[in-house]
Amino acid sequence: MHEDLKRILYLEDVEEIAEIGLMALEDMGAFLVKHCATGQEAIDAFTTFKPQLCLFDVMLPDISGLDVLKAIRAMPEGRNVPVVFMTAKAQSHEQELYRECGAIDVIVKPFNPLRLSDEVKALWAQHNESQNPTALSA
Amino acid sequence: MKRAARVQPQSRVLKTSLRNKIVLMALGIAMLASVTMGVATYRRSASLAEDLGTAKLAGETKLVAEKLSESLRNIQSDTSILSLTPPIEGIIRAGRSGGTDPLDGSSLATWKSRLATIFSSMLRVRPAYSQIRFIGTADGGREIVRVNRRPDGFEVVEESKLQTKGHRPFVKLGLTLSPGEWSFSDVSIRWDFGREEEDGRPNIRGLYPIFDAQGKRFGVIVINADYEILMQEAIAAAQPTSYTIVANSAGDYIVYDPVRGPSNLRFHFDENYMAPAPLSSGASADDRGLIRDGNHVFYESQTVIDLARKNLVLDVFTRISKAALLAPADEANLDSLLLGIVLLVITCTVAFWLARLLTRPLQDMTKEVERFGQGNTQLHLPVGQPDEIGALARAFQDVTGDLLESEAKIRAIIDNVADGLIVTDSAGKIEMSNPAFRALFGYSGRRMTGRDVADLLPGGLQTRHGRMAVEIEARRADGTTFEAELSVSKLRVNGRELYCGIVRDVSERKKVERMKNEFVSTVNHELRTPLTSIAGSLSLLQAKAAGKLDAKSARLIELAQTGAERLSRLVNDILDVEKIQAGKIDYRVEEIDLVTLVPEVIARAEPLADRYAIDFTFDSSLASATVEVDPDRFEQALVNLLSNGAKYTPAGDVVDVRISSCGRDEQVCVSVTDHGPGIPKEFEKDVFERFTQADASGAQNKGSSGLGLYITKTLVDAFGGTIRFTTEEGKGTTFYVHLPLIEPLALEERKIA
Repeated sequence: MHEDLKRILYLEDVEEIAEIGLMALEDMGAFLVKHCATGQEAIDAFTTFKPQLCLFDVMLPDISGLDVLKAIRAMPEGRNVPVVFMTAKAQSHEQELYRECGAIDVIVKPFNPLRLSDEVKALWAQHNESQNPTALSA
Repeated sequence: MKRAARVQPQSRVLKTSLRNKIVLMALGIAMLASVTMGVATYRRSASLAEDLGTAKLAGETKLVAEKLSESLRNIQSDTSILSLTPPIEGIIRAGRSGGTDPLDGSSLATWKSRLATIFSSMLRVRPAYSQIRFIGTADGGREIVRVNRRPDGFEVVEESKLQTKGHRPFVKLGLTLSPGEWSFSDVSIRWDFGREEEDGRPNIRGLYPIFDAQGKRFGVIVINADYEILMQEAIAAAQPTSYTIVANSAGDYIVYDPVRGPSNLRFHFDENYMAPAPLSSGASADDRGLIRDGNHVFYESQTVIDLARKNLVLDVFTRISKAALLAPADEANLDSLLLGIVLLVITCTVAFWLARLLTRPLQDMTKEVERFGQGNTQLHLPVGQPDEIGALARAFQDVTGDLLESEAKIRAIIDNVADGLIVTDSAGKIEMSNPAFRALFGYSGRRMTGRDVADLLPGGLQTRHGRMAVEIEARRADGTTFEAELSVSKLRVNGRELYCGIVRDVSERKKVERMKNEFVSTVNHELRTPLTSIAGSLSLLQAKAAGKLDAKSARLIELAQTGAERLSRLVNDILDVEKIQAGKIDYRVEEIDLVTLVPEVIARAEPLADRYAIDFTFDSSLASATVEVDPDRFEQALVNLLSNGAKYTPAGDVVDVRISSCGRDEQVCVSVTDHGPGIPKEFEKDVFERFTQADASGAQNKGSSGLGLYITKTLVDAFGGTIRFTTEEGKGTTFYVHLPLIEPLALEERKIA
């Protein structure tokens, strides 16, 4: 079995949405969530917080979520951390672009806060299976 | 030159100019006429020449025959003269009276002597006569008087040397003759003392019988004539101009040559005797009387001298060479040959002149047409000529006029079309371009012909022909590039492969497209962000405050949630429509059995039924119906129809879903029937349009974006199917989706309650 998901780095610039997201993740999923409002903040927080999974918005005031993803991938410890984009910019060609850049999935806004934690857990499990298929059978 | 080459006639028979053909034809006709005339003339003149020759030969033959008859009949008249001389009577009288004439007392010897004298005189005047005799019947046919011609004079044969000739055929013949009758013996050698004379010459004998006063046969007078001399003299007297042969029935003959004179007699008992040409060959005469033998032609005339006994028949032949016979015809023939040559020369000259006259305008026209081919449009054609050439010229002028007009039209269209147009050969060399193309690529006022198209359109045209237009990066003259749409078609002109490309600058359109996408994306994002907080808050509120709120507050949250959901759906639908319009939907097409899929979709749409308090029913007349669709997109289309039906059906009623064959083996029909108010007539045509609803004011109540049916129709179209509907106001509406089957129908009825 893979380890349980606990630490999530949550990047969302819109205050109201961030509040809803935090409530959904912390209250409903009981995750330990580090919230950042800008891309740079998230990059900075990544090394100190050491998240197991990242949940990124794309449209940010400074740099885009994709830039943050690239920055994390450039770090040695950030090479294998799964990144999920949660964005309203989710037309099919955009979703394709995110996957090409290394995101494991895309959650389209408006999201359902009641189901968000379950979705994230499912994606975590899916990611671990694809990373280490024998772990499941073991 | 190419054009001229194509006009060349394909005939292998006469690969020559029209002029030469006319001349040859005229020559042929003239030659045929000359030859025909020549042959006819020759035949006619040959016939005339033969007639003429025959007449001449016949005349000569008759002349010779007459001379021969004359000399033979002279012998006969000589015998009759001799028979009337007094010594004959005297000898008869003296003989009967014992040796002395009772009338004047002359002795028998005297009378004999007198007769011998008469015989001698006769021999003197007749050089051909060799012997004259008086032979008596008495003493077995003993000679009474006989005078012979000798080289030195005449011999009166003595009494003692007279012979008995009674046994000789001519004496026997002579003694059978009636009074006054005469005859001739055969031609034979003279006999003397019972045998043929040595060096004897063939003789003919004239015979005349002698009777006494009482009419009793007494003897016969015989004149021997040298046959050769007789004949030679006769022919010489006739003096024929042709080669002549005189023959008797025994075959003895003399040949007369106008130059050499008469030949010796060819006697049939001679050694080395040979019959003359026409007799020996046995050739027969034609209807003119001409006998053809080798190179010679003979004319024959037969004369019977002794008409009573027919024992002396003379055959006279005159001979002429064929060449001499036909000489007059040959002369006429030479004349007609010369005339023919003159005719041919005249015909040739006239035909040549005439052909030149006829073909000159044609040659001029050909030159003009070649000039037309080289691009010269001002043609000088003999349109005023009233004959066929004028008609051809007028027809050509009409055609060129039409051609020029249509070319001018096409040229104007090509020059004025907004898109760039270019034609290259199969190697990519530019053969033609229009002003729009040159302007597009910055070559205005410069020559493009001969350039390599790949410099402007990377990859050229050859690799790109097909029905679809492709987007490429085109390069201008200054090296800058622009986005262009290129469609290429392959042409085949006169066996050459050409490529025609149409180029359109799409950089502007692309820019607008990008801006639009940006805008849609932004709007989408800007709508979703507040929507996220509203919907999220409401969900959390509902969850956290469950059981803590009064009924009215809870209801308010519910209404807010419904609104947020509707807004969210609208945003999704708009995105779908945008995708559809941009052709950006990816279909994951699979083979799906609708009889399995449709009930599953209905099951997943149960919340819809609950919301509107209706029921979905399903029924299939088919055991299976396999189609090729994207199952998710099909579900989207079907849910749109179900949602539509649910909205318009009164609470407590049902919406019927049915799968059936639609009367055609290759299609399946999925129908959705509601029991709503139906679609108003004036709205029917707009059902599948965007943002349309039967009752615009009721749209809010029904909670739809007005895009559902548009999306459904677009998806069904994409699956290769069709959608239609029937409606009845107050009763309801049925939508039918027809999809092509990929397997034949299994007509087993299957019902699902």
